[in-house]
Amino acid sequence: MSTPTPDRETAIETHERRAEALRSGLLRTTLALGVGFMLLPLVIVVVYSFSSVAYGVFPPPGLSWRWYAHLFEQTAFRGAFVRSVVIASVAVVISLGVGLLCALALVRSDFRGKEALRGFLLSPIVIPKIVLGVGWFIFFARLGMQGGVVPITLAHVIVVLPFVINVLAANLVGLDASLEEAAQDLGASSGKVLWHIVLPQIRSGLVISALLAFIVSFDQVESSIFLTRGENNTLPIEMFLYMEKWQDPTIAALSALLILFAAVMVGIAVVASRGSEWRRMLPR
Amino acid sequence: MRLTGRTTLWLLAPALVLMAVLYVIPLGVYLINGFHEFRDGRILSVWTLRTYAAYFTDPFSYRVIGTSLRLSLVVTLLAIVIGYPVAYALHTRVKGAAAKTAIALLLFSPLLVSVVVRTYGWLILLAGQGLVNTTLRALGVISEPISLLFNMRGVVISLTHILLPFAIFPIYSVMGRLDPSLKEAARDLGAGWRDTFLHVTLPLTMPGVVAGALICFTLALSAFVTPQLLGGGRVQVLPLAVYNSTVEINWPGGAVAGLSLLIISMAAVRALNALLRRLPTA
Amino acid sequence: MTEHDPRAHGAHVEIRNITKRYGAVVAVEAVSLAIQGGEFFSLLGPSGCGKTTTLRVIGGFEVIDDGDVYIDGQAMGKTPPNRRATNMVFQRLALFPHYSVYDNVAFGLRMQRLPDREIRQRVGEALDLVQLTGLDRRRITEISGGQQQRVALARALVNRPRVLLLDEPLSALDLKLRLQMQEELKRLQRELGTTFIYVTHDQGEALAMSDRVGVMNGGRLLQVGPPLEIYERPANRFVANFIGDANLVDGVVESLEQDAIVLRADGARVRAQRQGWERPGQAATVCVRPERVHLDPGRAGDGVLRGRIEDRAFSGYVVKYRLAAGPLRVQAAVPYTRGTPLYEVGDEVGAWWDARQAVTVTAE
Repeated sequence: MSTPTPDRETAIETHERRAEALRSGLLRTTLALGVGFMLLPLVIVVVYSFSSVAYGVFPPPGLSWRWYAHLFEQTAFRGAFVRSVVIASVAVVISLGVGLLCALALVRSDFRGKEALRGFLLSPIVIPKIVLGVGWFIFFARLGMQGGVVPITLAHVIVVLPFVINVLAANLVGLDASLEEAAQDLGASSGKVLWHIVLPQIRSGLVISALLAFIVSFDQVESSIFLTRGENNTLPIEMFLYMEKWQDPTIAALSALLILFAAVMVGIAVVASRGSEWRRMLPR
Repeated sequence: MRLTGRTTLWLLAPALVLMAVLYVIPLGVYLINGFHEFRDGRILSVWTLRTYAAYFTDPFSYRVIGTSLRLSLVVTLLAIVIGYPVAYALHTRVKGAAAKTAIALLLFSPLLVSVVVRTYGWLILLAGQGLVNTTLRALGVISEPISLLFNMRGVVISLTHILLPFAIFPIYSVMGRLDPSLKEAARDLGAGWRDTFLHVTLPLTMPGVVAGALICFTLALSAFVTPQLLGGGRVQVLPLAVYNSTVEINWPGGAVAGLSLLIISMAAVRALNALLRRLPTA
Repeated sequence: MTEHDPRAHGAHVEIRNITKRYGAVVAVEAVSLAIQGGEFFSLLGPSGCGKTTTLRVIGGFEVIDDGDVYIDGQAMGKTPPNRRATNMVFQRLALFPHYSVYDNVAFGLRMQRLPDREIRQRVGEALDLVQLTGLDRRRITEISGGQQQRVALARALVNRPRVLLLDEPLSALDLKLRLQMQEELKRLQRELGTTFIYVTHDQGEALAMSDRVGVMNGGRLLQVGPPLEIYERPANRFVANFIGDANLVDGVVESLEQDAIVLRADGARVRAQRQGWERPGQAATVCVRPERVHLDPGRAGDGVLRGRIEDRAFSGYVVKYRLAAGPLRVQAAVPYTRGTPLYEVGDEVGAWWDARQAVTVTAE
């Protein structure tokens, strides 16, 4: 075995160290650009909400509060916001209840066709929302249920249910089933086991699936657009229709407030659950 | 806690009832409309294949399908090509779990805001005198503002932004699950960075790439808000065709267009899932 | 290198004063060690003692805070793993799941850009060496744990490393397979003459296979020596307890005799071989292995601990007794053949040992 000469070895090492430094620099730049790219539209929206002019020129010639003032004159947005919050909240409560029972059955029970059933229950995620939207439009029209918030809420339950089932099932899989058996062995009924043993352990999963369901419901456009008829618009639909007609920074002011709203919601969720659990809320 | 068959059924019952009434039936009712016909501004409740025949003989249908596929492919490719190095950089060049989580949160934070808001952001950015054109001109890349709005370019840029987190996340999560000693073993066996990346990291993170592509492609295929607001009528994709038919009360036409959207979407899911199953997992 | 001297192939490894910290935690503290070319050396210690970190430092996987590693006298500094004459068998094997057995073993040779013909030949030889002939087309997921173990070995050895680093490679195997692989590792090491540095928490494994053992705890190297020496003369309390079973009697040195010391402990007096550092009045601990403790109901007096049998356990060829002598607890392992008299729980006996069979150890 020949020993490599020290000088040559050092030259190779110097080369490798330089290559590594270059690579690190490039990768860090890529990451910074990626983060910048992701945040850019949100930042620009906030900047433009303070613009003094209606047209999109960069940089804005001056600053003003006029678009916020204009926004608060538009009562339609206020009503739509309240409607969206109510719809999302009710959809969250229903889907959490139904989804928890469903996830329990999927995780703690074995039966034929379980995987097919799971696929069916999760399938609304991959069905184009516009298809579902038109389906609900025709369905509720045939039932004579038009207008109001009930059809929209029911539609949103179906849209968010698979996300809830997915997050809760992933949480339940991680639990040690012997804890539940121990509780039963010590005399607890199934209901008591669920309340005292299972729920406390999946608290962060419940918070995260609730948050995820709320956000998804709050963001529905094409699934709900045919279920609204002006007087019962949800917020994103109100914005969408406004933007089809106008493109002044009133929408920017509203968007800035929604970004603030999202930040507050995230803050609440971070406090209510551990940081590491955040990874679960993103779709897999 | 093992559940009995009876308990299981009771637990599943609410979900099954909801899904049957609010999912299976509406979808069925909608798709059945494809077997009716729309003529002279009204729907004829006769059973016929004429709507299908009309749809599949109209060259416009194929143009729409082609636009949809092209848009989805380009956006998926862009999201993966940008998302992979970002995920790799986050995984390898950020030290400490807290810093990783914070940066991941920043990358995913746009998902918390309505897609309408994000699309509006791009509307401002891509305008003739917007930030992108101003910057490019200041850098001397272009001399005249380029048209980025109300055409395919704007839709591609905005959709890539919307889908990027869905590409980054699965790749990043597969990287995190990879046993770090695999990379060390490659180094130990004499591989430099390039060989380690090409022969170990990249092949073993392909499941993340395919999973990301699957999510991006299906979401791009069914994207509605972005092509509608930024396409300016020049980006005719399937969801817009469904929307426009429905607005014109042409439910049968909308149903057939919807069905082809559904079929393309399902086929993509099946194909990529099949690919995913064939990939080795670490 | 001469073909006939197997020792010629293994490199001499020297560690000088290495320290590795993770934040505030010191994983390895000022460890120095010299390993001969062709030696089978084991680093032994409980989990978290710093043995794996030390091994990874030698392999080039850790950036150290102080000290350096010398392989055949050459300072390694920040030389990356791919430029060191070492190869590693990882604890969780780290076999490439997307490659076949053959491709796994060939990986290192391909990285050297060797011609295909040579790669084929050397992979074949390596697979023969670990007795996996004919399994080369199998996928990693299609072979058993023991076979995966052999692939990991072949993948490292095929590169003809001058030092082979093994990080608890047998810990995932069941007992029978583990014993078989121990023998095989020993055989391979003898045949190849490669320096083996073997990390384990299993003292039986370390004692059975190694030329020398280094015992680590809390990031420090406590004692280095051949297995027999470590067993016979543990340097301190920790080593005595970690290697085999030990009775440890704490007390004060009362007097020195020619070759022995007399220790006063809780009213009893016991003797041990004199090490040289003991002075009267000093605190010391006497260590005596249970199999060297004799029990005799009739014996009493100087150097005998009188007490009652508190517990008895039969384990095949020995009977283990626990004796309560005042506050002291003494374990004795008495060889058993048919007819050996047995003591019952509650019996009063005297326990004693030959002073030459006991040693003093430092309290640490």
